[in-house]
Amino acid sequence: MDELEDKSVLVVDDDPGMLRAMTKVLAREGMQVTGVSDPAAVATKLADSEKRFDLVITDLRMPMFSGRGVLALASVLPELPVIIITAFGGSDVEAQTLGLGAFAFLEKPVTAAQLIEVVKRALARSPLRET
Amino acid sequence: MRTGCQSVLGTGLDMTAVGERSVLSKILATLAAVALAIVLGAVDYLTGREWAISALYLLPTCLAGWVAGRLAGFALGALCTGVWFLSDMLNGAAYHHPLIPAWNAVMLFVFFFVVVYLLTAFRRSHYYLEQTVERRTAALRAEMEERKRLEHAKLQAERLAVVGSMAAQVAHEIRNPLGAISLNLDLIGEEVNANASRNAHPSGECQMLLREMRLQVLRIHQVLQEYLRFGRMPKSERAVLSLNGWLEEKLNFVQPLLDQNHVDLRRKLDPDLPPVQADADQLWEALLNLIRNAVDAMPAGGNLTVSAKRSGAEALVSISDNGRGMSEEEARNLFVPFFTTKGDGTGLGLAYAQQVVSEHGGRIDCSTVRGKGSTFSIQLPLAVGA
Repeated sequence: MDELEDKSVLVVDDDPGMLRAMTKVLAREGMQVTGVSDPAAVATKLADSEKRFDLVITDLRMPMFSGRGVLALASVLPELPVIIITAFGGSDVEAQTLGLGAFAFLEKPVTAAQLIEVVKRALARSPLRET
Repeated sequence: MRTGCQSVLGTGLDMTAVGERSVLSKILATLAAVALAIVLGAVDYLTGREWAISALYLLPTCLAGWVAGRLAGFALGALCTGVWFLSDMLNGAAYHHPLIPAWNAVMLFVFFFVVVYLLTAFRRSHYYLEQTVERRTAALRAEMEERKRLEHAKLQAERLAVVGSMAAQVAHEIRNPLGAISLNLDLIGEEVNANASRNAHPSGECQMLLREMRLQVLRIHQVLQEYLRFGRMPKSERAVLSLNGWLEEKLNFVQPLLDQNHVDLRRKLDPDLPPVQADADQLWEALLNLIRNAVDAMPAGGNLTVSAKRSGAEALVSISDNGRGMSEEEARNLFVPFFTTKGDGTGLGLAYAQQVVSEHGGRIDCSTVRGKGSTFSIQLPLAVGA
């Protein structure tokens, strides 16, 4: 648990059930989780100077603002890893999002163990974690 | 998918052919014409009314010309002329000049000649027309059938695309709640464990139930994966593929599955089979579906024969089993998406296989005998230059 302790993560998913479940799984690992079900609020959250996120986990297909938009916003902060977790996957979508700079691509459903493992890997490769 | 249509225009019509009458009918018609000519000659002689009879000589001449052809017509014309001349001579008719009967006979023969010539020319053109109409009708019919087949194939492809996108949409919609369920099950598991340690109560029963639920989630996940694989099949990435080596390798891979099900694998791979242009991964998934079906069709074990050989400009891969075979209804609906006879099947395996083979420009067929087994044949175009 120590690896994830106090790490700050922004979770974006328009599906409330999925958002709640991911928030709980990560919170149990000691992470500070900010859940956002309205993708339009992502920009505000990321721009919040009080809050520095170590990681962003986002759904891909959402109304008004897609995961690609989140990815584009997050790319302004180059040290911020983004994990895509989606129900609308496929090898072409995976290749596209990884090409856009996503750290990892997961297709729903995932188990808690899978999610935590990818989060750990993302934080381990993040320069933020190293400093 | 194999396409092609025959040309509507016929080629090289045989203008010299007289007709399609049988030799027997020609002989009979000629004999009848000869008999009629003799009868007319006798009537001519007995009645002595040659000019009243003369026109009737046209009957046997035309009969022979129409039925047996131009030469027979000319022959009968000559015979009738001879009969008429003989009858005239025997009647002892008086003429101003001794050559007049001979002149009349020559004129009569010329008349018969012209009539037979025109008649057989008309007959030939009639036959030519008949043949042309027949050929064009046959060509049109073939083209209509080909168009019908293509329209059916197009309709089926469109239907498959609609079914595929619907299946993919539904699968995606289910994956969201399934994701939440999966994570919540893990959370419940942790909660149950924590409670068990706090209260010193064993959590075995709860954990077993959770395991069962996870298995069901996994099952739903697998079904969704199959729906998605069918619904969003990526465009094939083809490369030159040597079927023999590839099949050997892949069949070795499934050998344990076959051993486990007491299935004896027989390989008949033609060493001279040229390569095909194929997406190896997609093609293997299609073949694996056929092999799995064959294994399922032999619950008590049996023989599975995988053969690969050249068939014209195509490679022919066959997978035969000596299992239970299929009923007529099963065979008819074989490639219809979601049609399945298995309790736990999605009914997408064969539809997917067909989709893959069609995408490769090939075709897949099945022959089956109830109680004896089934054979699936896949025809794939050979690689260019093979």
